[in-house]
Amino acid sequence: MAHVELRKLRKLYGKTVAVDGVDLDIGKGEFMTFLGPSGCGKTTTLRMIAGLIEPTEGEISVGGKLLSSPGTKVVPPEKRNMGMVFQSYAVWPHMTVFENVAFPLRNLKKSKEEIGKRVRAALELVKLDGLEDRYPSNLSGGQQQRVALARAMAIEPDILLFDEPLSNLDAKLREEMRFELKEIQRRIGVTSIYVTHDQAEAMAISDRIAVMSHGQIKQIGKPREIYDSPEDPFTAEFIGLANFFPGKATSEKTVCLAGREELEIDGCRELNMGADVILSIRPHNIKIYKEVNKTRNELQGIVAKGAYLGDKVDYRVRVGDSILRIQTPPGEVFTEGTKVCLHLPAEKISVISAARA
Amino acid sequence: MAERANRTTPLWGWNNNGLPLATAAEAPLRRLSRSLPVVLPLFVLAVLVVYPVAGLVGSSFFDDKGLTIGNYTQLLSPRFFKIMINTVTLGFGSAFVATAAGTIFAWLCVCTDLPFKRVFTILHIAPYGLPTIAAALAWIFLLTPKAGLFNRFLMWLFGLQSAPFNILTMPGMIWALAAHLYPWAFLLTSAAFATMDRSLEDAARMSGADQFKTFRKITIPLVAPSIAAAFMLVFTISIEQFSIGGTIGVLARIPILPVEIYRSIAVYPPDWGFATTLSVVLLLITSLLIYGQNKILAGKSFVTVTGKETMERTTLGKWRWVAFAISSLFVSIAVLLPYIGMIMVSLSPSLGADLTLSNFTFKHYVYIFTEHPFVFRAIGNSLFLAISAATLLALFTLAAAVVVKRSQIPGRGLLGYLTRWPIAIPGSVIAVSLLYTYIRPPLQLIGTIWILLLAYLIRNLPYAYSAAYAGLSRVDPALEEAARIHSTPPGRTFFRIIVPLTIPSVMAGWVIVFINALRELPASLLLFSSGNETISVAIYEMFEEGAFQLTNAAALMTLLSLVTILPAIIIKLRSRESGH
Repeated sequence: MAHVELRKLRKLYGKTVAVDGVDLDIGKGEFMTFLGPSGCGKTTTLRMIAGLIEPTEGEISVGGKLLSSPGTKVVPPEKRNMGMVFQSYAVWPHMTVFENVAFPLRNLKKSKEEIGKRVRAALELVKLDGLEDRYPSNLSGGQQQRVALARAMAIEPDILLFDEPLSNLDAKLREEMRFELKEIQRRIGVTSIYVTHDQAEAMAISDRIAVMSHGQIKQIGKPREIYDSPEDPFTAEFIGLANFFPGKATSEKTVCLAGREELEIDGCRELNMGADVILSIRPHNIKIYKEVNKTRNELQGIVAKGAYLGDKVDYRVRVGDSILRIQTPPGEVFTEGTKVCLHLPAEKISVISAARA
Repeated sequence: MAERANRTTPLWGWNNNGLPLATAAEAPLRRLSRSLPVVLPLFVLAVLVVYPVAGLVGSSFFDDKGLTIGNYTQLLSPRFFKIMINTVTLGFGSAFVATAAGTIFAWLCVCTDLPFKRVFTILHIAPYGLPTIAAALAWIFLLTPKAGLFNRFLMWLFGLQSAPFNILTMPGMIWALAAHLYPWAFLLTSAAFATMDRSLEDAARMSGADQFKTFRKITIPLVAPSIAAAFMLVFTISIEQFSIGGTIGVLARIPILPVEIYRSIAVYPPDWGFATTLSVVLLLITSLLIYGQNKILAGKSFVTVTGKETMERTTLGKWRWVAFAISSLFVSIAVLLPYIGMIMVSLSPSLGADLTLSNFTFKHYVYIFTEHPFVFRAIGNSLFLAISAATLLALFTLAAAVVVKRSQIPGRGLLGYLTRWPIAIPGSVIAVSLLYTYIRPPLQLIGTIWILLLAYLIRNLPYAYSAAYAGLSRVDPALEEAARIHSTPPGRTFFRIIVPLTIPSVMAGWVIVFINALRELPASLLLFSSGNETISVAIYEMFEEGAFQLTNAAALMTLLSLVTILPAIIIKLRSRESGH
């Protein structure tokens, strides 16, 4: 049985739907990330798990215990034994580092020695030992976030919740903290749920990612699956760059494009003959040549724009009526107006759902 | 921001004619002209503010025969002791009640799901729109032991034999002041609750603290500096105000400092020595309080990184309607009742008559305009003074704010400080200082309307300045730099760039000064002369003339409140929402 179970979770604010039927199972010790743009419902979902927001509909259970269900009394946040790290750190400015981390332990009525021991252990884990008596105003943003992490872990929670914890840090520190967070989580093995709008962060840190948009989960999978085979246009576009083009399935493995070219595909999905589909391919997966190779999955085009970016060249190539974006390592440079040949490897093309009318 | 703060060249003006920056070798004349933007307003403030107040303090050490501390030996008298006890009791009591009420209602209106909280917010600000003299007289109409309208209503309702309340007591004065001043505490603590990062509370809930413990251990300690500052602010206003002490206090024979200052001069024979000494004492107390308040707010280290706005608030659950009932009851009594009492009296045939649908009358409104010797003139004077003071201060303080905030001229800090200083000078102290300074040539302004204008200018300098300063803080200096890059002269930059961009804040400051000036009483009472009466002087004179004039006073107060209430609420609501 999954450790955390969300069943048909919905949250309405008046008539606005913030979360629209989220179903999700999270395994014990798993690091799950909700990824999506602002307003997609990821934070609301997290806060419903925390108990800070009461769901309009749906059930939440952790470890087989029902925490929230319509018609029953919702377990308040202070009774859920979870830890949470906030975007704004939320380190209490009127308490020292020690007092901040000790506060949740005091609420559990732990003995003095135990509190001292656990606070020291937590601070050591986040590399803040020695700063116990400082006030948060004398700490950097990164240090404050470590205090928040230590505070969340000190009670050995069943679940750790992260609400965009790194987005107030500067870019360099953010990247460092990613690995550290992951490392700490692996070491203590706590089930973690993480919310972010930063896809690189999600990729780096998660066991699995749930991509969210408009209050719904669009796709759940390992970072690699989400990137390599997006199942829906939103996922493909939100994560990395992607080219989209519509077509019609002519067999289980071939799609005919608007310009009558036929592409072979090698995805995991089998196609229904005659179905309208949308294909997607990432710019760096398209190969660009000067000469025609007469291989399969080749398209003819004309370079419309090219920009040299140092480690790569970014092209816009006109193919029929549409423009494809291509990124290649800087080798041979094609000037604007050059006729080129594009190769779209069959295994790199994703079929993402039937085209919607 | 740091980069801007570190800049050492003036950002605009004064040297954009291509001259090199000031050096030690520079001609003294040019150096003077360069620092003119600071020297000139400093000179104006020195003449207008520093000189009279310093003169007052100095004169308290003199009598007819020369240097003396004789004036201060009077302070050892039982009379002074009684005045001090009364003043401090009144200040402490009303500050306590007002801060408690203000904080609780601010929390309810900002942090909880109280029903109709926008309506309550407006109502909690509404007492600010009632002139203090009107509030004072309204409570006299409502709660005197025999004739009080509300007392009689309660006696009828509950079949009581005697009146339940008597406003003519110290608790009565404390209540009248607290009901009038709690909006200040409400506004200050609202701002603190609104800017507090709500995830600080969420973090406590996630750490195993329930709602009540979170409130106790996190919320209250975090807003404590603002609560303390609110307390000191209300304390300051309570002990320097004249209107309640000069009406309820006089009837109840409870003397307080500002009223005794007035009486030492206004009651024959005038005792100048005692008046100046009391003024110095009052000035000392208010200065200490303002200093303390600034220290608390400046030392407030609880600045937090604000997270994103969350929609959910503290849910009151079953207490929601209890909170609603308490809020409604408080607002009805503290806020609406004075308005009702005032309007009812203004429509009654005579004070103490039962107002019915058949006997209500507008004769008092007719009287004040047709028969009263100077109400008409007083309205003209008040409008002239209020508009002049508001306009002059808007221009002066905006220019001063630009110099203080944007230039690097030495002395600008002192300029900013002096502009804010009068916040600590009570109205009656300003009046006594001006009486002392301008009673003899060459500047014999006593007996003219200009002495009133001067008092209003000094009194309102800090309010206009903080509005202008806040407005300027929101203008990106790059906008002025852009004008400078395109060789715009400083004057043109001021009028074409700075004035249009800061106009909303400057207008807000204008309205605040306008309202303050329209209802100023303590300074006006000491400084007016025949022909130069103001509206509030007219109201106070009616009060002094006795009960038969109180219905006319009610009519005039109602009209005055009609003018002040809407702008007051709008300005305060706006400043609350923009968070300054």
